[in-house]
Amino acid sequence: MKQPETNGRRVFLSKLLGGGVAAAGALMALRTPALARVLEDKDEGFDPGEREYVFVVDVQKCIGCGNCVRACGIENNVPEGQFRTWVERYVVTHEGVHVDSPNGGMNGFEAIDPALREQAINAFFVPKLCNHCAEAPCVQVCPVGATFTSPEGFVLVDPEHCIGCGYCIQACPYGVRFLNKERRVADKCTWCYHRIRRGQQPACVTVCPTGSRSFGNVRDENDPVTQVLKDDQWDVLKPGMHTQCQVLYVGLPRVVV
Amino acid sequence: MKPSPRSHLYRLLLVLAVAGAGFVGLRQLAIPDSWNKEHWYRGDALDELAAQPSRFGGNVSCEGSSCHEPPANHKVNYDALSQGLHAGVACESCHGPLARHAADGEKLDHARLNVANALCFGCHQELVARPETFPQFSETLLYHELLNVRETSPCRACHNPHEPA
Amino acid sequence: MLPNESLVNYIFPNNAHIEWSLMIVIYPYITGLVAGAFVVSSLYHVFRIREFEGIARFALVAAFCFGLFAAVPLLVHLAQPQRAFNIFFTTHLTSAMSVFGYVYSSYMVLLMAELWLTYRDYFIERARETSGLQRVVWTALTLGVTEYTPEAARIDYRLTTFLAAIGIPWACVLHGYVGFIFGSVKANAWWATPLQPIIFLMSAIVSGMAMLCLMYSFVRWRTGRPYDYAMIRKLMIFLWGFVIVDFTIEVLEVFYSYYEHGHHWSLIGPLLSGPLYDSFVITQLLTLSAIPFLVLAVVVIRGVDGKPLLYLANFASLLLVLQVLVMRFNVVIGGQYISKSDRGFATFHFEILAKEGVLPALIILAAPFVVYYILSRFIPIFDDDERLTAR
Repeated sequence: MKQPETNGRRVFLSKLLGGGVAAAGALMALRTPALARVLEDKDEGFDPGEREYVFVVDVQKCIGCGNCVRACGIENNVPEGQFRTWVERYVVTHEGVHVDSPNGGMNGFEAIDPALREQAINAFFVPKLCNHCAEAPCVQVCPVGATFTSPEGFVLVDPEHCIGCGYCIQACPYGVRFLNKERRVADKCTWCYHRIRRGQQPACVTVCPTGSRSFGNVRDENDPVTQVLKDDQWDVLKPGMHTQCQVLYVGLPRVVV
Repeated sequence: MKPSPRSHLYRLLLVLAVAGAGFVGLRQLAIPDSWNKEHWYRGDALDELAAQPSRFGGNVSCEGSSCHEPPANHKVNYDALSQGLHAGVACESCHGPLARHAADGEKLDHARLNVANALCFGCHQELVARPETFPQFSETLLYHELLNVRETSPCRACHNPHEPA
Repeated sequence: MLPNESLVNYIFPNNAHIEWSLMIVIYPYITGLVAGAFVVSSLYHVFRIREFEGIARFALVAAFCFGLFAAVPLLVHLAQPQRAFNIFFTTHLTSAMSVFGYVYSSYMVLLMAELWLTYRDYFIERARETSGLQRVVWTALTLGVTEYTPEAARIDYRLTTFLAAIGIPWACVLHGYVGFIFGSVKANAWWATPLQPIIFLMSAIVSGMAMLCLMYSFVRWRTGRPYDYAMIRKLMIFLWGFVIVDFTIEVLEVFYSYYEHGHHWSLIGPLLSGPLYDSFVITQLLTLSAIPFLVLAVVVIRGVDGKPLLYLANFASLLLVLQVLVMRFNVVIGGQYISKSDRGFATFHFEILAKEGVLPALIILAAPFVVYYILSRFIPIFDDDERLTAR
C-alpha cells in the first residue's frame, strides 16, 4: 500500500529527529542540578516487590480541561485520533444520558446545547485510562505473550513481540486499547511506566491542575492513595466484569459505564 | 524382492520425524533468551520500555537553575506560583514540556507562550459539567460587573497567571 | 433506538475503527468449509454411509483445497505478519487463538496423510508410466515405494478409516476453537455465549455440505458426467438436519438473551433492531435461512428426485453458502458495532482495494477453487474419471 509507506518514512524521520533531540536533551539535562534531581535514573534498587500501584481518579474534581490528554499525547507519541487516555462529559437528564468526548477531550469542551442544559439534573467529567487490571482479559487472550503484567502490576505491551492480531483490543471491556496506526502494534496507557521507573509521576497526573488524577504506591504508608483505600468509598468501572481494576474512582456516579 | 507392506508408512513417519525435529530446533533458536516462562513475556521488554525518554519534568524541574537569571523572571514566577491559588497547576501545562525547552543547560526553544484568553478559558470557562466550587468565569461576578469585564476583555489586565488572586 | 438510555450515539474514542474486518469474516468461513467437507468424507469412511462413497475422495480433495488457504486471511490481517510464527514459538496457552498454529498445521498433516494414502496407488502408476521430470515428481510423491501390494492396500484402508475417525474431532477442534475465541470474550455482549463453538461448528457443516453440492453439480455438468441422485438426496437430508440444528441454536441464543432482559439484551436488542436489522433479521434469518429450510423440507418430505432434485438442491445450497458467510459477517462485524461504552454503535464501511477490502477477500475465497481445478488436471477425483476407467 503506497500511502502508509511514505507517511511511515516521514513519520519515522521526524520521530528520529524529535526523539533524538528529546533523548539527547533529557540525557544532557542530567547535568543541571534541579533537573538531575528529577530525571536521574532511580532504577538502582527498584524492587518490584515493595511496590503495588493504584491510580485514583476523583471524578468530582475533574474540570475537563484536557491537559491530561494533551500531555499523554506528547509524552507517549500517541497518534492523532487514537487515545491512551481521554475525558468524557456526562449530562444526566430525566430522559436519558448525554455522553460526549470531542476528540477525547484533547481540546477541552464547548458549552452544551442550552436546551440540553435546561434538562440537566447532573453533569460531570470522567477521565478514562487503562485500569491495569489484576486479572486482565487482554493478557489472558494474547496468543504470543506480547501483553503481560509486570512484577509490580503494570499491564504492558512488548512492541517487539506483538503480532498485531487485535485480540487484546477485542477483549478489553473498557475500550482503552487500540492498534497504533504508526507503530502497527497494540498500544494503550502504560501508567507511564518509564516515568515511574525514574521516580516521576505519570504525565497526566503531573499536569492535572485539580488533583483529580493521582497515582501512588499502596505499600508506602505515607502515600496519599492509602487513605483512599482506608476510606473505602471508591468504585471501579464495570464491576460485573470482575477484572480487578487497579484504577479506583472516587465519587463515581451511577450512570458512568 | 517385495517391500514390506508397511514400508511406505515408515517412509512417511521418517519424513514427519525429520520435519518435526527441524521445527523443534528452529523453535529453540527463535524463543527470545530473556523469555520469562512463569509469567510469559520477554523479560528484556521491561528495560526497553523503561528507556523511553521523559518529556515532562514536573514543576520541580522548573524550580530554578543557572539558566534563568534575569530578565527571565523565572524564579520569581516559580515562587509566586508555588504559594498561590495556582500551586497545583503544572508549569508545563501552559509552557509546554521540559524536553521542548531545554537540554544540557542549553535552551532549545522558548517556553513563553501566547497568553490570550483561550488559555485561561481552557480551565475557567463556565461549563455545566464543571464542579460548582471551581472558579468559572462569569460576567455577573461582583468585580467583573463593577469593572465592566466581558468575555473578550483580556484576563491578564487584572489577573497574573502565576499569582491569580 | 440507542442502548442504556443514551440520548446520543456515544462510542469510546478508540472504538471508532472496527479492527476485525473482512479477513476475520472469511477466515472462519474457510475453516468451516474445511471442517464441513471433511465431515462429509468421514460420513463414508467412518459411518459407512454408502451413498457418500462416490464423493468421499472428492470431499477430501475439496477440504484440502480450502485448507491450503485457511491461514491466508489471518496473515493478511496481522499488523506484523512477519512475526506470525511467534504463535509457534511463544504459544500463550491461556489464549484460544494461540493454539491455531499447532491445530491447523497438524490438521493439514492429517489431511495430507489421508490424501496420500488414498492416492498412493495412482502415484505409483503414474511413476511407472512416465519418464523424465514427470517421473521424478511422481516418484517423489510415492516417497520411493513403487510397489503397491494387496497387504499394503489393506493397511492403507484401515489407516484411512482411523485417520478419518480422529479427523472428525480434530476438525471440530479446528473450527470449534474459533467459536471459543469469540464466545469467551466477556467484553462483547453479542459474542459472549457458551453456545458459540457449537453454533460455529453446525454452520460450518452446513456450509461444507452445501458447498460440496454446488461444486459437485458444477464439476459433473462441466465434465458431462451423470449425477448421482441418490447421493444428492442423502446429502440434502443431512443438510436439512444440520440447518435445523444450526438455526435452532442461533435463534435460541438470541431468545435467551431477550427473555432474561439482562445486560446482554440492553445491547443486543438495540443492535438487532438497529445496525444489524437488515443483515441479520431480514437477510440471514428470513431470506437465507427460512427459504432453504422450506425448499429442503419439500425435497426431503416429498421425495423429490431427478432433475428437479438437482435444481432445488443447488438453489438451497447456494442460499446456504451465502447464509453462512453472512452469519460470519454478522457475528464478527456485528459484535464490533457495539461500543464498549454501552451507549452507542460504531459503523462499518466496505472498502474495495484496501488490505481488508472486498477484492482481496474475493481473491482468497476464489483461490481454493482454482487450486481444485489445477489438481483435477493431475489426479482423478471421481471414480468414472477417464484416467481410472481406461485401465
